[in-house]
Amino acid sequence: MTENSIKDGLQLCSLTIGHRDHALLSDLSFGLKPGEIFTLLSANGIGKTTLLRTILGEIPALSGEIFWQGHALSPLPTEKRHKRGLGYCPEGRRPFAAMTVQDNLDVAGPPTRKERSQKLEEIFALFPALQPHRRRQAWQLSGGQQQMLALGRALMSSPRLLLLDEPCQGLAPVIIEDLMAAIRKIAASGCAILLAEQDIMRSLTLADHICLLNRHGVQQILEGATCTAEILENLIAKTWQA
Amino acid sequence: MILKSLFFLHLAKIFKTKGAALVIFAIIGCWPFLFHDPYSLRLFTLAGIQILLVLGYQLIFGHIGALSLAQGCFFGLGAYMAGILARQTGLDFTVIAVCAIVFPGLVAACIAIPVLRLETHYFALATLALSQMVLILGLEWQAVTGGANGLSGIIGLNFFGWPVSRGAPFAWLVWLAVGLGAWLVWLMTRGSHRHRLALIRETPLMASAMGLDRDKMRFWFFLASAGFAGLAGAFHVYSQTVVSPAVLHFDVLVTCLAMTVIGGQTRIAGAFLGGLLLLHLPEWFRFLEGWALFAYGLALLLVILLAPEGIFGLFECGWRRFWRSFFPEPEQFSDQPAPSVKAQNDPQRPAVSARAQATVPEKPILTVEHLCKNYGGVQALQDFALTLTPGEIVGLIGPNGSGKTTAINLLSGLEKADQGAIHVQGPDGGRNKPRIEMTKMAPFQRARLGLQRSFQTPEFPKSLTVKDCLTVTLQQAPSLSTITGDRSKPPETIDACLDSFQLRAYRDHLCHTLPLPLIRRLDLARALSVTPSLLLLDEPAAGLPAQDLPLLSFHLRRAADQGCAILIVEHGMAFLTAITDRLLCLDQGRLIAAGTVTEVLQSSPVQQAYFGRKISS
Amino acid sequence: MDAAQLLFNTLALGSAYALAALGFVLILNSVGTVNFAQGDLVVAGGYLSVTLLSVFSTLDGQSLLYTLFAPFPGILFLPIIMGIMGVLGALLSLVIYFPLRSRPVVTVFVSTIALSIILRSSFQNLFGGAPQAGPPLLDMDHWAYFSEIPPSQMDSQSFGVILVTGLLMTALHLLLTKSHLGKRLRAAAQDPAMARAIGIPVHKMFLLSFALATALAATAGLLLSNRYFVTPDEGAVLMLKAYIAVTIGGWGHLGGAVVGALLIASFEIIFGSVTSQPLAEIALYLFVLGLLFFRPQGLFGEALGRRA
Repeated sequence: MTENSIKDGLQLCSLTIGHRDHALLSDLSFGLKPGEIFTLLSANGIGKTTLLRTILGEIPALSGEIFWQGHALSPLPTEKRHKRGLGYCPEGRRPFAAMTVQDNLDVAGPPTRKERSQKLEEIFALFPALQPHRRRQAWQLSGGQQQMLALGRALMSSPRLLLLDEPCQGLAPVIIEDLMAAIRKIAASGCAILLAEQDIMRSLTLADHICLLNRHGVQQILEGATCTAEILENLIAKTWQA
Repeated sequence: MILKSLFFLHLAKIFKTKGAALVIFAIIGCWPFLFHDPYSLRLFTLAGIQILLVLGYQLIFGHIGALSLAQGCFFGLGAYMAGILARQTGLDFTVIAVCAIVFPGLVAACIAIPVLRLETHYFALATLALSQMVLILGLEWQAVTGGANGLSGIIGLNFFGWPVSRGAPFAWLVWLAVGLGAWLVWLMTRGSHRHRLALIRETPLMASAMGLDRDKMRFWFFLASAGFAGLAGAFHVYSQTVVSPAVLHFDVLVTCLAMTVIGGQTRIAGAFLGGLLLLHLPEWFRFLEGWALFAYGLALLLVILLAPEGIFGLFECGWRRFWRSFFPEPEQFSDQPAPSVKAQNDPQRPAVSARAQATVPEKPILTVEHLCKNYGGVQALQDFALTLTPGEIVGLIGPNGSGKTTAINLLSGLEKADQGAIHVQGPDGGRNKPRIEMTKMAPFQRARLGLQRSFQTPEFPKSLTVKDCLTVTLQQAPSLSTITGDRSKPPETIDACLDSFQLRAYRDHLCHTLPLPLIRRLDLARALSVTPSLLLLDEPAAGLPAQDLPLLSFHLRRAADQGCAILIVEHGMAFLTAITDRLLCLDQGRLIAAGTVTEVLQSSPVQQAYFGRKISS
Repeated sequence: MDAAQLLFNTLALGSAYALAALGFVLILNSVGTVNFAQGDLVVAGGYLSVTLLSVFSTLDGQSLLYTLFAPFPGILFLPIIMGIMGVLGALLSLVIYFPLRSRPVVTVFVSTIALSIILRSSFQNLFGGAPQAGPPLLDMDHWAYFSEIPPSQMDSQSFGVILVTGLLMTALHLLLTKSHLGKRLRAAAQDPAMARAIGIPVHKMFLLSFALATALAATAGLLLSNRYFVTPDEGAVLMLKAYIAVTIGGWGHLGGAVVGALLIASFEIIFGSVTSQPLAEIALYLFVLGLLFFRPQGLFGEALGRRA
């Protein structure tokens, strides 16, 4: 770790990710602080999902290191990383389809009953649209409701780093608004959020930092506050048809 | 001098690879001469009968990979058929043997048709239910089977008119059958048959893509296994002179399964080893007494956990390692630098229209209309339509979840469409080929019509080398007719194919040890080597290092120039721009744009779908 | 036999089958493998109860221990047997399942066949082939104290079996649907990767599933041991019945397995009382073959695509 690296958040050091021995993204080095929303922006197929899954621990990194709160993550399996405060909301939501909404949340919650019911109320306060569907089975929910459920499930363990993979995919604009508001609230509570996204406007609305990825690695990292749509469009257009 | 050394090198190679098996066979050949007291001879005969049973079981369980629990049942059916015929009639053994082979075969055929396609646990259950049913029949159907006591007094075997007495002559007859049986199994499973079976067993998707008919092979191997079991049963009856419901007991299968796994599931020598060893172990370890079955079970468990190739596999491995020091590997031919791909001067492909002007506009080779697919309430694909003409390269793009993979799966046959039709058609030019509807065909049938596809993560069986893979592909080529019917180009040789894909250096490497870019290249080589009429590519450039892309483009263009119609699903726009004639874009299951590459990539709906807004002026 | 008696017997037999089938489904759902040794684990439970009974019988007839527990020996043994066999089940899974996780499914299937062989021959050698009787749930001789009209021995045992099974199934249902642990078990079975991502120790859950399945099998063994005696070879047929019950009910469906078990029991008893026992069995197997052909997903399963 260098002088500039972030000690209380997530720091990637020359991370190369991929499958077996062929690399998807090489030499990734960036960091995010608690409370920050960091968006990975690229078209699909570049490797955003693989990166998130590598940080989670499902896929081993090819080289480099991931530091969370100053500790290296590579020796730890997924369950241990979860204990350290990682939360994951996968692409396509993946709720436990045959279980009810309440059970989906319950299963991810803290060990004691009291803490769990407390957390449950917090989640339902954050996503009031889920409340009437408490007893319904997850597969019966709409896409937007399932996304809220997946997000709520990730939040049940009060994570300090949330890995979100394209949460707005396939949802109606109105739902997306609610979802983005919820994501902002989560960040405001001090949780660092690493968000994989494809949409330019959504990235601009949410992100503190936008990281443009192309097939080699990081193309550029921009400040959310100073970035505009035109800048992003131009940067993407360079690699879109190149 | 050189000839002599080559000859010895060749001999040494055979010794190293086949030597282990030869040792086993030599031991077995000497066995009856070393132990020729009546008791040992009897054991040796019984071993032969077991080996016959195991050889049959290897066919269905070892090679096809289907867990049939009916092998004991077929053994019993053959035994009863032989016993009843021997008692009621004075037929020659040849006739009885044929009946004992055919009867279980017929029973197997009856249940095979509904049941072979089921997944493992259903297939196992069906064969188990059959076995139980037949056992109860054997116990209860007194009139025919003699009930619990069975039928006795089965003596007097006549083989082609000559009486065969018990003892040495009978042993000879049994082992003659074993020899013939082993030879038959060898014929069915040697060389490229072995590779085909490995494909069917371990990587069924790849097998279908190569045009292999899984169901047919499973059917015939199942029948063959029943036939072997039936013959073994017939011999068993003559050796015991009685037939009782014990031949239908589950223990018969259990011993057979143990011998197969412990000996070596797919090796003929393994069958011999397993049969001989496990039959004699209770004799050698007589102190085990009633614990013989326990020992079987424990041995089976240990072998599964520690030596999945069986004891013969271990033996062979050790043998090869040992002799490698005496006969080192001959030098591989030096890696000739593969002919370099000619630098592409014009990255842009000449427009189809320029080529088309040279010939009459072609009729489409593929027509897709109104294709729809719904997954549990989610409409993955809606009203998908497409036409491909020979020589075209068309790209299919779209953001995540847009339905691209569904489209490829529907076209290749892995999924069945809910609505819509897929038609393929031959060109005009004298021969009026009819429109063939492909919508309901299985993947292997589509491959046989000339449709090839590539896989995102191609899987090949662990035992196949690169050379084996291409051998099987090229051997399948004659059965893969092409719709165009135009086979002016003869199929390539393996080496030519390897050279043009720069895989020559990996000729003898095991497929599954290759890194992903090379496996992809092999997959492409496999698909293109049979000069398909239609090629479906699923993200061929994804994950490929930049230096591999020119080779990929080169081969795709060459295929198109030869008349192949290509559909590529891709993310990499740069690659598509260079190679495709036109582009289609999907979003949430629907087509939202079609046209030239520039048109589509510049259009608003497409950019909106990807990024939420227009990005380029 | 009158209809009520028939029904009663069916429920009793069906209960025992249901317990074996439930264990079968638990393992199936969590690790995706058929446990060929399930029936033999039932028999193991039976032999364990026989052993406990012989130990118990050596107790002094006048001692307090004896008087306290003599009225319901079977019920006393129940938690002991469940505990021992549960631990055994977890240990067994370390040998027959965990080392083979990355191999094709057929391999684990065959390893359970190996286990079945090992268990069966152990029983044959340790206990002999003669049928042995296990402890009754309620020992009626002692109940005579409390009631002037002792109910018939047969009926009370059947009643006990049905009651115990009912209680256990309710407990299992409550465990799986209401308790935190049960929900985590189900989540681990449905989507192991996602379960890990929310902190569920998936390996431990699998161990627990094996332990539960074995405990249930052992209970079935105890319940069957008094009325139907214990023989070494019973396991194979019991496993087949459990296998069939699960197929009838729908592969992986817990409730379906119970329904399937009851259907098999009624088939055997009712069909068997009209025709002969062997014919009833043959009819059952023919039914199963027909089911596999026409509707392999059973009563409650989703329509499974046949593998290409």
